[in-house]
Parts: sequence; structure tokens; C-alpha cells
Amino acid sequence: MNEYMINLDKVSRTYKEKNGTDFVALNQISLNVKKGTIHGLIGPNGAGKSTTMKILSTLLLPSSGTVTMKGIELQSNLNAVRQDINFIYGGERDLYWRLTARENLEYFSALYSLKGVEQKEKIKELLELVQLTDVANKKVETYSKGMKQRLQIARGLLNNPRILLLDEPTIGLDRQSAEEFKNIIRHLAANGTTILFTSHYLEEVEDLSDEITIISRGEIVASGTAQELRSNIGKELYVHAVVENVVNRKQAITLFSRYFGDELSVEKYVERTGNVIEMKVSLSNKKLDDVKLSSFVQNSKIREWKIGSPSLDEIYRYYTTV
Amino acid sequence: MRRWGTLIWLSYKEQYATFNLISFMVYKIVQPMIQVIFFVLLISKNGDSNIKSVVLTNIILAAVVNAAVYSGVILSNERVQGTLKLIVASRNDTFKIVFLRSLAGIIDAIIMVIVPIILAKFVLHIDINSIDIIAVVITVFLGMLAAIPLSLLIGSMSLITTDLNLFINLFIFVINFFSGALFSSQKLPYLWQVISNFIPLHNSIQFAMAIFNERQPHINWQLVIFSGREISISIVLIIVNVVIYKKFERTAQKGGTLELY
Amino acid sequence: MRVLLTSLRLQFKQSLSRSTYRFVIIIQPILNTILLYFILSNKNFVNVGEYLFVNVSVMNLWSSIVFSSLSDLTREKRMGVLGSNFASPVKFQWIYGGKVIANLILALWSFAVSYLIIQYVFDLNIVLPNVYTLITVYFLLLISFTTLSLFLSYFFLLNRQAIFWINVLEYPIYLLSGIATSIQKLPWFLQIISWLLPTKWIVGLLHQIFNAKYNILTSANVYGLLILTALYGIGIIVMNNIMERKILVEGQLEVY
Ligand SMILES: Nc1ncnc2c1ncn2[C@@H]1O[C@H](COP(=O)(O)OP(=O)(O)O)[C@@H](O)[C@H]1O
Ligand SMILES: [Mg+2]
Repeated sequence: MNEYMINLDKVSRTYKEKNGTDFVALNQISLNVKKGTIHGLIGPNGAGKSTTMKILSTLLLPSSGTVTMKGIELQSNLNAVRQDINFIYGGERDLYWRLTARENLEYFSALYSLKGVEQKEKIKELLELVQLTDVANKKVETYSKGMKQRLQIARGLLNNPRILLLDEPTIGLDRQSAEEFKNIIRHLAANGTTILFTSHYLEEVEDLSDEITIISRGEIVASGTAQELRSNIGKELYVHAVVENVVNRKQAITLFSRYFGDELSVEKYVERTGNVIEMKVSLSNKKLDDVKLSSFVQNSKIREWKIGSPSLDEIYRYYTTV
Repeated sequence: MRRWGTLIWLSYKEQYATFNLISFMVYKIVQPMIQVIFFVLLISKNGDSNIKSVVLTNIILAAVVNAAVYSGVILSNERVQGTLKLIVASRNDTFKIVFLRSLAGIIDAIIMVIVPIILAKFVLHIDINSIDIIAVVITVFLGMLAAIPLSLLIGSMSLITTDLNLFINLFIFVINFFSGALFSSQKLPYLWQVISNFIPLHNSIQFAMAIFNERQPHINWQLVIFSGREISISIVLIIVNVVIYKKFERTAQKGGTLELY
Repeated sequence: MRVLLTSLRLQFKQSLSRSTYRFVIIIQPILNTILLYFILSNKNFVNVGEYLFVNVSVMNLWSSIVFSSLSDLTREKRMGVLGSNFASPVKFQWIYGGKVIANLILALWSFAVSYLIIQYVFDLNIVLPNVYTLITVYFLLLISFTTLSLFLSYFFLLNRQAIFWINVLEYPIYLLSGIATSIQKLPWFLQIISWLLPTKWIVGLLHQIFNAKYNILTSANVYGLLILTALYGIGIIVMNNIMERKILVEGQLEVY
């Protein structure tokens, strides 16, 4: 068990809405993150990503379930984990705009009991890391969005966190800064920091993550390495097609049965605008005949056709579309 | 005309959207009344003042100042929300919009004068006759006229400063101080007395006091002078403000201050 | 402790960099003094200078509370820094205690400003009490207002309309502190509220210390202030728990 730095066990969280009803933002989430790995959390707006991050940042308690961080049960020991974690939320928040970058870092490092030479060194090192040394003595209000975001990153690293939580950290960063940020993250993970992050940039998630969890409407719908996620959907057959004149599920199945015969059973069928359909199908006979297949495609007025491994983007859409 | 009415009403509603009935009443009636009570008690320590005149003029003062501040606050809120940028960028004449919004303060002033006066009559048993009512109406009218350039000024300031609060505080002080409602302007050094004649609202308050203090009602030359002065000051200030506003707007666009939070 | 000092030092910087705050501690006392001077200038009693000083000082203290506990906190909320303070290993009340004390130390300079104006511009003689009395009173003001201010901070921390309410409270507080009229003239329930305000006891205490023969150790006002400080201290602990609950359980801290 102890190889996990972050461990969520059947964690739920409800919010009271204005009209008094309970809204379930997280429903029985279980999630493990191994030490020194980077774990990406993706899902549509309102899925519950930030709620998860807030719980882990000790800013919110779960309504039920157990959260364990570095082996310590979180709910009754908030202060025991605070020294060893930190978070970076995207955007320009979490900074004192009327202080300089250096003063901001002094202030926040004092909250984590850094002092004297150690404090000075750390601040110097971080300012260099995020390339703000030149403007360190200017007030934050004069900074651009990207500079503020970079200062946030420095703030989040002040206490050498063993667990780092990132909620859309690269939002508003330009390409180059985002790239540098990713390098920082990789470097941290290589040195043993455990990282959980959310992002809407799937490319970035695939690029960075050791493992990925997809969350939708407060529930985990898939979790694993990119490879595992892929084979989850694609190991039997994953079809992504643009088909003319297909209006419903039945027609699609009839159409595809013509080629696949009775062996086909549809596990998931998704229809999109513009005649695009996605299907997850199981086949008892997995051997596909390329010649037969291409003649089928031509005869069935299927304009585009793909069988095999889905991209992360497709996996994501597959799981998060209702 | 209907469109103007809608704009005024919507501006008004928008400003108080976050208020419920209770907080609205507290803000518009209870708070100003306690302020009036505070000053009236303080003033009456001197013992020599006409209580009716003190109460009525202070009610009017509080109402008009509050109404004038209203539009400044609305504008500064818009800055925070970022909608001001949209207004300035939109094709509509910015000035017209700001002007309309300052007119919305009239609704305030009316609420804030009528209710306290009724309360003053029945709770404090202040003897108010029909002449007083006419005087109040005319004074509120004059006061509202004076409030328009004042709220425009706040609106203009909000274009170029991030510390609008500071400006509003100073502004409230100047108006209160020179109004003559808190203490007789004759207590001021001579030069200041001259200045106070040119401060908005001063003449309206003098106008009201002349009627409240003189028991028998008749229109005399003094009243004409007071109201004439207030009207001309207001007109001149409105014109000056239009020029200032345009200038500040350009400064704001050039200096990029609209972007500040 | 070190956190308190860092918090204090950076708060000095932040506050002083704001023109609104410089206004509150320097310009506002001047304006209030001038206004009250003219309103009260017919008043025929000997110690009008002291009377002015006491009233203006209390008005200024209140302004500074409004500033430190509310507009500052709202600002922190808007900048989104509450979350990163809350989630740090240091106790929240120490962090914000430091900020409030910093603002009050600055605010107490407004006493000096109004003293100088009354004494030298208006030429009304104020006979200052001895140094020990001054230090004692200064200390009492600091602790009683710190606890009140921190208490109010908590109270309004999670309230969207904080600024609104605190502005609305300004004149009622002046009235209840006995500035415009003697508290005995108020209805009994208002008198009880006024006992809960440090400002009421401070007005009483400040009036007393100008009487050279008065021994402040026998002053009920001193004990009133001490008791209130303790009460608000307890209030802070209670409020801190409520706030933690609101953040952690009800999820009311809008971090994002
Ligand atoms: N404090 C709150 N009170 C009520 N509902 C909330 C609160 N915070 C978040 N929610 C709701 O919970 C859901 C999940 O929100 P969040 O975790 O922020 O999603 P995500 O970060 O994935 O976009 C959303 O529907 C949101 O409206
Ligand atoms: Mg989110």
C-alpha cells in the first residue's frame, strides 16, 4: 500500500445547492497515485476535477470515503500533511499583487518555516527556475498573465513539496512557457515528487502522464496508462466512421453486421453530428480480412473509416460523451 | 423616451441586483437616517439651532450625496467586472450612457427624502407644514440637478484612478463641509465662505434653510439668488464635466487604465 | 511567531503602498478634525480640544478597522490568496492576526495627526497625560481593537456583502460609542450593545486620562476593555472553528 503517495478510497463529495438540494460532485471515487509518478486527471467542465484537487489540497473535506496522503489519513490530520504538499492553480490568483515577486515568495516561504540563508537560496533558485529574477523586485500587478502564472509555480515549489497538485497549471501560458513548465514537472517527478494534475490539453496530458484518469460527472470512467486506456477500448475493435445515411443505432448495426456477421456485438454506440459514429464492438473472431474490409467500406458508402488504437482524444470523447 | 426610461430603470435594478429588500432598505433608508441622527445630535449640542431646519436639510444632504455617489460606484463596479471596457468600446456614446446612469440616482433621492421626512414628522414629532413640503420638493429638485455633475465627476474619475474610494471620500467631505447643513458657513474664514458659494449643493441648502427658518412664507430675492446660483453652477459644471469626461476617456484608452482591475 | 512578524512586515508594505490607506491614516483624521471643529465650535466648555480629540480619534480607529478587517480581506479574497494561506501549515489566526496588528499600529498614528492639528492649527490646548498612562492606553487600544478587528474579519470573511454592512455600520457605531450623545440617553437595548463595543469604553477612558489626577487603574473603562478583549478572544476561537467548518465542510471558499 505504501508505494501510493495519494490514495482515494470511495471518496464522495456533495455540495449544498442554493435551493437546498444536495449536488453530488464526486461519487465514490477511488484513485491511487504512486510515488514519483505523474498522474493526469481529465474530464469535462464540472466533472469534479477541481473538487478532487481541493480535497487533496486540504481546502475541502470529503463527505465520505477515506483520503490517504503519504500514508497519513487526511481527514483528521490536515496539518500533518500540509508541510509536504503544495498546489498550483491556474490563472492569476494566489498572489499578493501589491507586493513584489520576491516579497511574495518571502511571505509564503515563511508560512512553510523557511528562514535565513536557506530561505534566500530557495527564493533565488526558484526565481531563476521560472525566469523572473530580472523582475523580482517589481510589483506583481505590473506582471503579464504568464509572469504571474510562473510566479505561482515558484510559490507552489517553495516547500519542496513531496506531493504537488496542479489544477490546470498551464492555462494562459504560451507554448514555450508551457513547455518549460512541463520540463520542470518531469524533473520534479524524476526526483521523487508525486504529481497529480488536471488539464484540458490532452496532448499535454498524454505527453506528461505516467497514468491517466478520466472523470465524468463525478465518477471515474477509466484509469490507467495511456496504453491501457487504449487497449481497454481498442483491444477488440474500435470503429470510428463517417457514414452516409445512417440515422440510428439499428441501421448502423445492420450495416456493420453485413461485414462482421453475427460475431458483432455492440458494446457502445455513439452518434455525433455530421454522420460520425463511434462504436466499441466485440468480435469473437478477431481476424480481419483487409481486402474484404475495404470492399465493404466502398460498398457501404462509408466515407472515412478507422479501426484500431484510438487517440487519447478519441478515448476521452468515447468516455465522456453521453 | 421610453428607451431612456428603460435604461435608467435597468441601470438602477442592476446596481441593486445583489440586494434583497432588507439590505436595500438598510442601505437606502436606515443608514442615511442614522447618519442624519448622528449629525443632528452633534449639531444640537450647540443648542442654538433650529431643529426642524437642521433635520430637513440634513436629510436632503444625505439623500443627494448618496445618489451622486451611486453612479460612481456603479462605474467602478463595471471596471472590476470588465464591462466598462465594453461600453467604451461599444459604438454607443459613452457619455450618454454614463449620463443616464447618473439620472438613475434620482429614484434614490426621492425614496431617500420622502421616507425619512415622514418618519421625522411622526417619530420625532417635527412640525412640518405645507410650505416646508414645497421647499423640500424644490430643494430636492435643485439638489438633483447639482448631483448630476457630481456623479459625472465620479464617473470620470473612475476612468483614471484605481482608488475611487479615496476620491469619493474626499468628495463627500467637500460637499458636506461646504453645504452649510452641518454648520453655518458663516463660521468659515471669509475666503472659504466665498468658495462655498460655488460648491454644488451649498445654494440648495441655503435656499431650504431660508424657508425653514423664516416662518412666514414668501418668495423673496434671496431665494431667487440661491436657486439661480445652483442652476447656473450645475449647468456650467455639466458642460465642464462633459469635456473632462471625454478627456479622461481618451487618457484611459491611451494609458490602458481601463484594463486595471 | 516568525510568521506573525513576516506577516506584519509585509502587511506594512502592502498597506502603505495603497493610497486609500494613507488617506485613512493621514488625510481622514485631518478632515474629521476640521469638520468636527466647525460643528462644535460654538460649544462653550473648557476642554473642547480634548473633546474633539477623543471623538475624532475613535472615528479614525473605526475607519481603520473597516479598512483592515474588511476591505483588505475582501481584496485577499479577490486575489485568491485565502486558499494558499489556509492550506499552509501555519494557523490561520496567526497569519491574519499579524495583518490586523500591522494595520492598527499604522492606524494609531492618526491619533498623532489629530493631536497635532487640534493643538497647533486650531490652537486648542490639550494637556497630555504622563507617558505611562499613554503607553498603557495605547496597549489597551491595540489589543482590544486587534481582537475586535480579527473577530469581525472572520465574521465577514465568508460574507459576500461584507463591505456593504461595514459601511452601513459606521454611524450607528459612532452613536453607540457615545460620540454625538451620551449613551445614557439611548434606549436600554442599545446601551447593552454599546457595552459590547470597545469604542464605548475607549471614549470613556480617553476622557478620563486628560484629568491629570485620575488614576486609570481604578477606571472601569480599563476593565471593560480587558473583559471585552477576552470575550472577543473567545469569539475569535469560535469563529475560527466555524470558518474552518464552512470552508472544509460546506466548501464555501471559492478558490476556483
Ligand atoms: N462550492 C460549491 N457549491 C456548490 N456546487 C459546487 C461548488 N463547487 C463546485 N460545485 C459544483 O460541483 C461540480 C464539480 O465542480 P468542479 O470540481 O469545479 O469541476 P471541474 O473542475 O471538473 O470543472 C460542478 O457542477 C460545480 O458546479
Ligand atoms: Mg476545475
